[in-house]
Amino acid sequence: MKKLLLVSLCFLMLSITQVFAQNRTVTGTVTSKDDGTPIPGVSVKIKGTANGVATNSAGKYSLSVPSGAVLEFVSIGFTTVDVPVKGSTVINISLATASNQLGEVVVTGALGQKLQERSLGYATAQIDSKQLNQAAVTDISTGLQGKVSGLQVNLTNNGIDPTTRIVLQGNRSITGNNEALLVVDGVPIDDVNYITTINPEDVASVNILKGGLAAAVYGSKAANGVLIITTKKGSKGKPSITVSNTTEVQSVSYLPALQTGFGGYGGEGGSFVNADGTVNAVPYENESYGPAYNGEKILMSLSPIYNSSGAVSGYDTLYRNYSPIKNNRLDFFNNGITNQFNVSYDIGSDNGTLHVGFQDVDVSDVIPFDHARRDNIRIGGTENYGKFTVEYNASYNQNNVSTYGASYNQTSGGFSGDLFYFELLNTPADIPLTKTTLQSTTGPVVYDPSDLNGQYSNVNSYYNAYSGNPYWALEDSRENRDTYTFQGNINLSWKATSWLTFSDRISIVQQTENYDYYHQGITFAPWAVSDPEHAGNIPSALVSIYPATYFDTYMEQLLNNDFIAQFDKKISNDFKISGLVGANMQQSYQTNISLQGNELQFPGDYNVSSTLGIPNYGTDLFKERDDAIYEEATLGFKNWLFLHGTNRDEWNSVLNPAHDHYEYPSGDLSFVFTDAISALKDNNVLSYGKLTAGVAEVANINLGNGTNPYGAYSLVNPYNVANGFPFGSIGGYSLSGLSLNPNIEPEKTIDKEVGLELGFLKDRIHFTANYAHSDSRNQSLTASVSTATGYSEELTNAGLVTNDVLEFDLNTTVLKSRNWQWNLGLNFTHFANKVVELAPGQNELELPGTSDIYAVVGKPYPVIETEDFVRAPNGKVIVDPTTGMPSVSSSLTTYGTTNPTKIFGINSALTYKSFSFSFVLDYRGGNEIFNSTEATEAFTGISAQSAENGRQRFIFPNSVVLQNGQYVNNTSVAVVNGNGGQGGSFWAGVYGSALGSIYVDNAEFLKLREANLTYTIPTSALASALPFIKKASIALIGRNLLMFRPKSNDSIDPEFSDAGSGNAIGNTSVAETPPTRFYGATLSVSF
Amino acid sequence: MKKLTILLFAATALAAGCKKFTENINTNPNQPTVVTPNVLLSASLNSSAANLALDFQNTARWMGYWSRSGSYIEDVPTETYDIQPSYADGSWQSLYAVLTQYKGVEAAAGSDPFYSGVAKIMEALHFSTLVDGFNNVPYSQAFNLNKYPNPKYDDAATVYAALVQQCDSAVYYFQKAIVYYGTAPSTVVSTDNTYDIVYGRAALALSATQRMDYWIKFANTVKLKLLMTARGSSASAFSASSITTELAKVTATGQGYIGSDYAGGGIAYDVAANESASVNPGYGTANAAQQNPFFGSFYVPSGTPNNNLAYYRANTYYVNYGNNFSDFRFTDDYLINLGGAPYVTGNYDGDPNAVSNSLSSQLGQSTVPTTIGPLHSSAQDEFLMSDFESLFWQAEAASLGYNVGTLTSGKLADIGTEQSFVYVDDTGSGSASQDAADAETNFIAGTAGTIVDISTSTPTLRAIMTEKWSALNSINWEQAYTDYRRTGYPVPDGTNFGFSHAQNRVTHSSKDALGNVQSVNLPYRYLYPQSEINTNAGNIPAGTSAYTKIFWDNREQ
Repeated sequence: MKKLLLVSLCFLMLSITQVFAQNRTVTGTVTSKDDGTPIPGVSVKIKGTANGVATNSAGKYSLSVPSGAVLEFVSIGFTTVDVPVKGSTVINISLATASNQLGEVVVTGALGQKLQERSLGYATAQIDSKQLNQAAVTDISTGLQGKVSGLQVNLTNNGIDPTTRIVLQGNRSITGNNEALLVVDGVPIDDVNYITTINPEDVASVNILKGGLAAAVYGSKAANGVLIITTKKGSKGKPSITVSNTTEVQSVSYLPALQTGFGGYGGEGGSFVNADGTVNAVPYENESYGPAYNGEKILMSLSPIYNSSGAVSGYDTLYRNYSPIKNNRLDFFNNGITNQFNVSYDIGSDNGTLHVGFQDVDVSDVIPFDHARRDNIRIGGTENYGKFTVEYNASYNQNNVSTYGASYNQTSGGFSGDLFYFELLNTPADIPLTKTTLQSTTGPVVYDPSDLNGQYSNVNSYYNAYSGNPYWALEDSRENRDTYTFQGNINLSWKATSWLTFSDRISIVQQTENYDYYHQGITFAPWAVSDPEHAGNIPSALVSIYPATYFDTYMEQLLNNDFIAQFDKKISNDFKISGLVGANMQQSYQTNISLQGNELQFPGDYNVSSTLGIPNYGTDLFKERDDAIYEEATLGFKNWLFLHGTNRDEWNSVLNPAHDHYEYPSGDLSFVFTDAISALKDNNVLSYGKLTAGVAEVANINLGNGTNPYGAYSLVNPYNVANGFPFGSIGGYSLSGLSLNPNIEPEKTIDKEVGLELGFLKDRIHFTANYAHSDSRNQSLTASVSTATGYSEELTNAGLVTNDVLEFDLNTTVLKSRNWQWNLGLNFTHFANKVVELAPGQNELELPGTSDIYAVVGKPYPVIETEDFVRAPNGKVIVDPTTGMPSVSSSLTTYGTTNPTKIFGINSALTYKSFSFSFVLDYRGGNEIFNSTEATEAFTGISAQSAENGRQRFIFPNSVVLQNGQYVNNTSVAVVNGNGGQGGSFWAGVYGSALGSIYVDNAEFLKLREANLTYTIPTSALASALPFIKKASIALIGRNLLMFRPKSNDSIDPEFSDAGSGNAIGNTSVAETPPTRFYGATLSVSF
Repeated sequence: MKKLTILLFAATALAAGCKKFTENINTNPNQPTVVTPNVLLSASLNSSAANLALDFQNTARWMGYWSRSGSYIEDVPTETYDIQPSYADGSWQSLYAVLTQYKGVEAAAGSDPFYSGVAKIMEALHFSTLVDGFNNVPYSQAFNLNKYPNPKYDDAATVYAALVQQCDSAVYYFQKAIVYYGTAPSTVVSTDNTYDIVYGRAALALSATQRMDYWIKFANTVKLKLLMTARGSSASAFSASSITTELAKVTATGQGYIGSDYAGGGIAYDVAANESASVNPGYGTANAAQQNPFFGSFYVPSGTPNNNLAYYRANTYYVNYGNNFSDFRFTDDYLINLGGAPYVTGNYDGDPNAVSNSLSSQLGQSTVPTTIGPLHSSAQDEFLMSDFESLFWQAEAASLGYNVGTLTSGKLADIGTEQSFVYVDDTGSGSASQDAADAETNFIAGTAGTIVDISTSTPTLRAIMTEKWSALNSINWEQAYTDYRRTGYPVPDGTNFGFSHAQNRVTHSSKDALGNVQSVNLPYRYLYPQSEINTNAGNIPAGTSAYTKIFWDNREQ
């Protein structure tokens, strides 16, 4: 207390000095430290007095000041700066964005309200444009990774068309949607994937309403929190144009650990087996269970020699060395190039502002031939007409993605072949995968596997008898997805009285997508069909393949209208009430047409109308409407106690009209105790302190799925056209295996939250802690039921999932001086969730979308369940006393959760003069991953593990055998066959079987997500040389530069997931290509 | 404050309007929610065909018909008999799914007894397959999700007895249908005829009454199949006297069994009477899903093969049998290699030294469509019950002294064999009478030895079952597996059907039909499926293994 008094005394002394000083005129410009643009409306005040002016639209001010006075520059959203006048008459100052001016920060809350941070009784976070774009992300969601607590963004697949999954405060729903709601400029968009159609450079800020409490007023679609994106609307001041270009190189970080010691053999008999039982390499095998590499010459490919009458008289052969090629699979991948070009134009006056942004992103992927291009233009602005204000926004986004399709091997028509990555991984290490020179019987030959017309690389000659040339799946089988999205909204406001504003916000989002998937036809040459190597090759099995096409077009239209009356009134000196009453109407509409022709007549003509027979076809239409009225009010007492409540009444068309109305109430309290308790006031050590608590009930209508986006028509079991029907004039219908429920109700989540927010040392240290508990009952479970009931699944209201989420954020300004500034942010989240109950009588539920991922009663959600070895009571693996082979249990074993339970992020931004360096580190752990790709690798003998014992017989480690009813340690019985191939072999037979436990790995990782080194050319330097340039900077950037994983996980990026944005995270397959890193440079110039 | 009040009023008015806005748009525009029974029936019968064509294909390998090609990687559970709960899960689920379809037909049948009749008999057929694979299964509490979300398992013998009764009620409905069609509007008669994709096909050109006669024959045959299958059971419902009583009811219907109108005397055959119960809604090449399902699992509509044709090869077991006993159907079932006819090479299933594709015979013939063998064209019928299978059921019953008509067991087996020859068009003559004659010259009167000589009036059960097994090659593998388990036959060359040549097979000793102890045996049944373990664990009978017997299995251990 004494110390506090002393400090106050100092301030008092300071003010006294000022009074006696002499006046003079000081002028200057106030600019933003971030981008150097002038800031209008900054209050420039002589400290301790009421004297002051505001900066004009050019950020300039002029003020008569007594010498020795201190000027105080105050602007909302920026750090207040005090500058002693001393002798100078020109004081130019740049203000830093206020990151820690706690309590005064204005955040965008639900429905676009500008709210004082201090009044909030729930967890939110804000990320501004600079934080978002520091690594020149092309997708907003990846720019959020690691930056705030409670938010988990998973990049589940990083191909040319990346998929992300965005979850806030944990998974509440077992089979329903757990992803956040997207709100763009106040307009809810009920599909977070639309985030990819927004140019990150157009984003002014992203506000994250973490839980149901913050979002209750948005109703059923916001049960999982909200990402509020506010786009740029321009700013007052002179017109400014910013041009920037980012070029990044993308390269594969690593491939799974694969063996390079043994070549092709798959269990062939005959001449491939020697008298002593050893085997010879099989030149055409895709399994790598052959002899150790020895460098000898081995057949590569056959090419027929024709005699004068056109008959095949022999084969010209190409040879390869039977030795591993270094990095052959890694070299298959390209270095991808991402080029991002941005132009933005901002202008504004007191009457309005305008922002125009354009972005072109061109991506060549690491996967050869994969390419994407996105163009986006956005116009946003405001217009003021006295009491009327208009805000508007329109953007058009065009995205053209071309990616690989499936191969032709193992097909039974259509598009059911393997993916190139499968073919690539399972190519023995001695097979050249890129252009090289090999010896043939006629001399040296340039062998280029990517040349599908090549003499030795065409489909007939390709070395592999059982698997296609991976380049075929890249070149002759393509998926093209063209998406066109328009988003527009307009917000009209009328300030009826000083305390009451009416506004109407209308928006449309419309997306059209054309998806075209085709593959070439093949007619294998007669010589290849005759199978000259007696391999049972693909040509002999398939003879020919027709070209095929699948075409799908869909249109989605989302309409939204909010009518809001907003009030803000001081009731007395102590009491203030603010809030709103509103009504919302939403309509979602989607049509979908698909066509498939599996037997096209002409190569290169991928129109379904040229198919033989009857094409497959389908059309679908889905419509959903949702109506709501809502009320929200905050009662403030003395600016330190805020009672906030919301209520929403909602009517949704997908529910039974008998009970389609739901209410979502919430209430919370915010208590700024540093203001309330006089002893804590104006304390420089603890400068700010706030306690919050709240409770909300939100409902989540979770009837939608991949084919029915809104869950419409989910009350009555429909009949589907039965497979193959109609046969001529004979129709046929059948029910699906899913039993619908006419009385289905929304899921109900009760969210409870308490929070603490503290600011120390004039808010240089800002700490928040938040604890949220949610109970999600009455889930809309698609529960598996015994097929003897007549159905395989049932839609039911059952189950309970609890989530406990602890979030900590610590943001500090470690260093702050004229030349130095270092901001360091740490965030930590701990998730603990549990499936308390499922449908009655059900103990576990396999999640749709992938295999081996379950919800299990009493366990976290979700968990891995898979087959383990048969084990003795002491946990050791039981092996057969004669063969030494372990066996696979017929029941499933439960492993850990696939959802990270601990997420830790570090954000650092260090500025020294014109240089700044920032990075983001992201740790996730406490979870496991099921690397099912490894089973494929073991099956074909390419995994590193399968070569650990040198393909010799070995005693299965830590095994036991049953002897006289006792399990005794096995010290003598080696596995009967330590190789792969045929006949009870260990690696193909056991590790390549249903056994899954050996592929469950610790999924923890630490990633250097982003790093950025920027040099901003000093304004002074520009002013003399290039005066028309306001600002210029050059930056080196990188993304996903480093990743650290436990040694046991030598497979793929543990963030990846086969389920995409679905719930069943934690299982990977060959559909996820290797992780990549990006590095490049950005040049940015503002005029 | 006044303004606020007004606002609240406005909000209330809005709320009233809200209801209108959200209602009435939730009617499904994409799929019907109410349909007529005919479209359910056609879909159900087509599903039955797919079921018979595609399910339990592992037994086509276990029964020595097919083997895995040496060009492909081993299929460990099938080849070593180390089966898991997931092994036959797909077949379990597809059987219950098709049964559910027939329950839907029953529910929608209304006053038209034909639909109820078909549903009853098809349920009996599919349930018997379920019991034959899994023993106790949910029956009495099945298909009632709301009331019995976890249906109990019923005793297998009780289920079988109930299925026998279901055959009677099918007959009752078909008899009622004959009366009903007498007065029904002609549109009803023609619709039922069109959607009866078993006997209503234009090619058969049957009157409504004839159709019902054929359905009654089919129902009677299924009943015979149930009784013969369960005759090894100790349950009183399947005692000799009970069987006699039940078969008397069949005799009383007057229609007899499929194929039972074959004339007696001499080397007679009746090639015109194709009474087989088979499905064909109009199979063809229009679309992959419109091919005959069995054929469609090997070929795409254009006639080019897919991988299954490369994966499955002739099984040396059947090839050797054919060579040794001059049963030349193996040259119809499998491709004769270019090395010279008749020369067919196969693999033993699971043989570590199995030869690759270009050295072993594929299933069927080199080009399609063909008339030869069980795999002949996109448009081929799919059997629910072939006439030859029916004749072997009758032969079995007759050989045991039951009254199934005037023909002797030898005669029944004889014409069953002939019909099988006709079906596979042995020698490719394209002439049915020629094929039937081939059956006599090449086979019955050939170097057949004791096992296959069924020209005598009382062939042994061994001979009948061996003939039946041979006839069912690539046609009804699941029935062959059941026949093997309940009779121990065929044992054509003195070796038991533990004939996978895979290493490390699961061992289980028992005696074969000839009394020889065999250490490796085919599983006696499937394990209860993983889907049931996941959803209905509390009701699954405890203590079952792959070597727990089905209720009718009375082989010596």
